[in-house]
Amino acid sequence: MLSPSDQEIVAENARRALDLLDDQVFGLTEQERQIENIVYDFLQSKDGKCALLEGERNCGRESTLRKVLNKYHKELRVINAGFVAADPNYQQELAKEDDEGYFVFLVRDADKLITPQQQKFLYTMVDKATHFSWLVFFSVSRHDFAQNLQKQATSRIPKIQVSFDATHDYEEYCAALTQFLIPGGSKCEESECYKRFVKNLNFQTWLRPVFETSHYVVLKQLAAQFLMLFGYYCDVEDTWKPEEISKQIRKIVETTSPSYNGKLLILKDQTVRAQCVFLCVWRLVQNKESDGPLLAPKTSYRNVFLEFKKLVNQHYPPLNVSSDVYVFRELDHLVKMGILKADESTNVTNTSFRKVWLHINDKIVEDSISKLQLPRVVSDFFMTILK
Amino acid sequence: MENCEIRRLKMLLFNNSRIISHVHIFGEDGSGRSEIVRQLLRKPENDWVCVLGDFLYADGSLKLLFDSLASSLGFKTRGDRAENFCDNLYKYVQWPDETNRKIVIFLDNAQAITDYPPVPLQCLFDSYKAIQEITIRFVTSAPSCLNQYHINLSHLPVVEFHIPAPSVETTKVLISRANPKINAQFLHVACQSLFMACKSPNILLSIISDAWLMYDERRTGDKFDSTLAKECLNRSSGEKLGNVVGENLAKENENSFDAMPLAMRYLLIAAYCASNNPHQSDCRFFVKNHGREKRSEKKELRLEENRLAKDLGPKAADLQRIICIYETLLKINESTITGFDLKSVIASLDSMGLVSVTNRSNLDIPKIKCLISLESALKISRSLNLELRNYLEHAT
Repeated sequence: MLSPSDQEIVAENARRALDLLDDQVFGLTEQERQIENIVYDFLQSKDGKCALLEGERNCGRESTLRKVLNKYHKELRVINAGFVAADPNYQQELAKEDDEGYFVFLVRDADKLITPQQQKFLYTMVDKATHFSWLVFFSVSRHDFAQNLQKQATSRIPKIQVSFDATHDYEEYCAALTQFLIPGGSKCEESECYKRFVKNLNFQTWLRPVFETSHYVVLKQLAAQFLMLFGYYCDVEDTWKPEEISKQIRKIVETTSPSYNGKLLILKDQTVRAQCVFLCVWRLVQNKESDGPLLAPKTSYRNVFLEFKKLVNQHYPPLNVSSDVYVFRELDHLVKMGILKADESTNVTNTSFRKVWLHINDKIVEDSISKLQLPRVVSDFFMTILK
Repeated sequence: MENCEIRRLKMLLFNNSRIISHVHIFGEDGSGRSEIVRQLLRKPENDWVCVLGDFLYADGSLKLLFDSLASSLGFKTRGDRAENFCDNLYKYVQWPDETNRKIVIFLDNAQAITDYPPVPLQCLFDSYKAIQEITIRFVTSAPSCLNQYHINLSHLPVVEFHIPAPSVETTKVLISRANPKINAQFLHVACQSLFMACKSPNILLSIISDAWLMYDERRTGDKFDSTLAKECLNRSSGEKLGNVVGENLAKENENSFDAMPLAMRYLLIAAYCASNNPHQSDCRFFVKNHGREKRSEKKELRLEENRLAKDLGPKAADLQRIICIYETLLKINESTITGFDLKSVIASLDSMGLVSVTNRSNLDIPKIKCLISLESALKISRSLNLELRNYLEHAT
């Protein structure tokens, strides 16, 4: 439990850390050193050159480049290759650029330029880089980018390449979150009260599921939400209790854990009738073989209605419907919500014979039957298939 | 929704960090997911600028979408390039804090993004990085997860937020607030019985209000009559939710096929038999026994196993076969009917959607598939004094 003055200190430092969060890069010191060498050589020699930045999406290529250029007070000009791919006239506008000095360019998503016509843009950038003393970085996320290039582009693009395939272990991951919450070289480091507060969060015990599935960008998003909570939304006395803070943190973290499934949440939101219709599809599909090795087993709307009628007549009469149209409406609604898939072919002229199949893994459905709040006899009806 | 959930949503919408660039809110229809976001964005915090757009309104046109967003922000834009739109954002918007420019772009009905061209849409969602001095946050709202609609957007670092469907207590509070005249006990019984089939507060309000008017007219005395309440609720919700009503509705449906001409009904029954029976069984059903074949228990069990093994649906049958079955059925009951142009009758059935005619390129041998269900076929045959089950291989 924190005293009011300690609460104010923690909130102030959290706001300070949140302002600094955008510029933080973790785990890329080697790549930063390589880019710094390239930029330093360019500024010293004034020779135009190109370089590749290769890595996954959201791995910090642009942030690292901006961080290096901030040291040399150099402006970064960004060209989005998606715009070039979507707009053929973009290249003409860029061709009108005049020689105004030493520029640093970043071509974002350069691997979108895959057609021979679009790869001309790459030639243009490489030629202008040599002629106008530009430093051009191509940011790509596909590892086969070089193989897809035309021969002219392959011969012109140099071999300078910075790879962002960073691997990290759990200790580094926890250290990254610590750095996001307590930025290095800031006033937050001088506050013992704030550091003790962050230490008491004890995230080594609950961060491992996030570590196993997520990158640093998700960790940064979590840090942003934590700092927003501590800095702006802990405004009542009760919200500073340790159990309340743990509860809030648990809710923030649970959307990034591997067990989070949006479709299951949607299934739990459905009415009892819709859930029973969905489980009838699951039960029919369980008993059925697929039409081919790569196809999901399917059933038809009419068979689902017959199975629903069997459930209603034998086990739970309150679910009865006066027409099969209402069961078909529930099936259409479940298809719209994304937990079922249905045949959208134009050849389907009658709803009764439309094909429908699952869009969730059937094992997940099996595990979640007991979590839905269905009547006992209904749950037993669907569970008996497992015996 | 709970207050702590609303606070958590605010922490996402108005977060100062630009690392949260996309927020996707998903939930059931009727859970209020768009209205909650709209109300939060009407009173922004920390100097955020908020603008609302709708993917469904723009209907596949990014130009129209940018037009509606720009007119809400007070400037004009042309074309469908996301980069131009971001440049105009930087220049023309009235920012509360010029040194800290932050904007939330709320795009409702994100399930309609399948109608948009993929590459320009991807440019739109990637444009949060376009200008370093602006923090742009895209907030989308849809019934399901964002990956469900657009596989090309899986690279975006989307933070998903789920808004649950309202519970029974929440629905009761909402309905009693919207219509205070409804009796609390009546409302309790109504929510308990109707929540199994519908969770949307708007639909429930409509049904319960109608039921309450009916109940208020017919009740005698002040004591709560649960039998009368349930009867009014069933009557009010019968059409909307499909709850089982009495015998009156079924009897109305019973006579709906009497308006058909006799020849049309016979031809429809013939088409149903031809589509749902294997052609080897025609001799047994229509020539030898005329539906009076003795079916042993062992044969019935074997047929049932065969039925389960197949995926039963109607199959296309020859026109000649249907005409033969039609003539055979006529001989049983109505031998005086002659002279109809059966092809015209089949064309009428096709235009009504009761049969489908395939193989149209070969006019000599058309294939006809009957699309009515077994219940409809049984009703038609009952009006013809014909026992249809005796002529079916699989009585499903």
